[in-house]
Amino acid sequence: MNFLQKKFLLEKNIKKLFPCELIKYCYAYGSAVIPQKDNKGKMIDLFFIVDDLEKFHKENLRVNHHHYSNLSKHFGNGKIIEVNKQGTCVYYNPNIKLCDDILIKYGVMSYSDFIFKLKNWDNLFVAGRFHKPVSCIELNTRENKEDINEMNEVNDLLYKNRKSAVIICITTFIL
Amino acid sequence: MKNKSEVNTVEFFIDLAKLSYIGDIRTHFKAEKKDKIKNVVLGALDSYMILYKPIFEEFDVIIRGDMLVFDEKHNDKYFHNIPNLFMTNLQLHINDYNSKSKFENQFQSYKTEKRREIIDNYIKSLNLKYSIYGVMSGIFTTNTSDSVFINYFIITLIYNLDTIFVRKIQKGFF
Repeated sequence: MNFLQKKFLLEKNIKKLFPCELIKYCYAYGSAVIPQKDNKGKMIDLFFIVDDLEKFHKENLRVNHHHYSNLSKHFGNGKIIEVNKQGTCVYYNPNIKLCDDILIKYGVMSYSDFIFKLKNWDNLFVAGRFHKPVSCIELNTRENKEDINEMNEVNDLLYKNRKSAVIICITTFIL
Repeated sequence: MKNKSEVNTVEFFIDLAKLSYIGDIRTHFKAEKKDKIKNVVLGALDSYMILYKPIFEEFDVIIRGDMLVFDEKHNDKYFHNIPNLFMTNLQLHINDYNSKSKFENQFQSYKTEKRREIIDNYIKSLNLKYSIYGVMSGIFTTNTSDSVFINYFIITLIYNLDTIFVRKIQKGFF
């Protein structure tokens, strides 16, 4: 399966399976999307950037209860959000069968944390993933001006994030 | 890749991709494959070039064959573009209480090796802290079958920390 076919399947099945109206941006990364030499990963890594963590996990727990670990189901939405807001600010649900051919791992992150991590580099867990090529999966059509402006701002931030990495490399390793 | 104004494209992207791996605890326990960073870059070199070409143009980096050429007359331009908060955190990390501009000038005057050491140590400490957190939160978010893998990490971590402390005691550090 080539990259475009994979992207089409991803888009189609994510829309079917997840509460997409609550997902602002979706990015696919890792070796299953951007192939590595001698290693084509099987599991596709996804980032779901959501406006409201509470709403998303509540709805996702309802429709995709089996995606969550036994511990997180036991403690419930409150604890999931608490874990999601700490450290790297990404909450992962791994080993999810999206369809016959696609296995995914998805990380959920709030939009405000995403912007903060890209701007401030308090750790490189998120920013570092966006130094590498990633693929944006469009789940919602953006028609109004505000959404388009916001998307441009995010793209601008991602560009600045890469620019910072280049500068750090030049000033540290070259000059 | 030290003290050069000309560098191989692949080497440059490997150093760039390394930023998020330096200090990551998973790289110590071979959970991440040995040549992972090199393979990431080699497998996606064209995508890297497309992604970074506009930035190279912005900084007047010349792409000559498979080499990148950095003009040293643009040094100030490079240094003045280091992200503000990164510099502030770096300054705090090394307990430098000079004014920000004084620190920036001092940083620029350091030799490459010294700058490399400072930034390496800073990024290492960031990545180590958050990769340990990632492993710990994995216990909560991963299902039972995968937890065996997570437990392997924790046991290895405890074993390694124990070994480090024993060595330090033997050397008389405590």
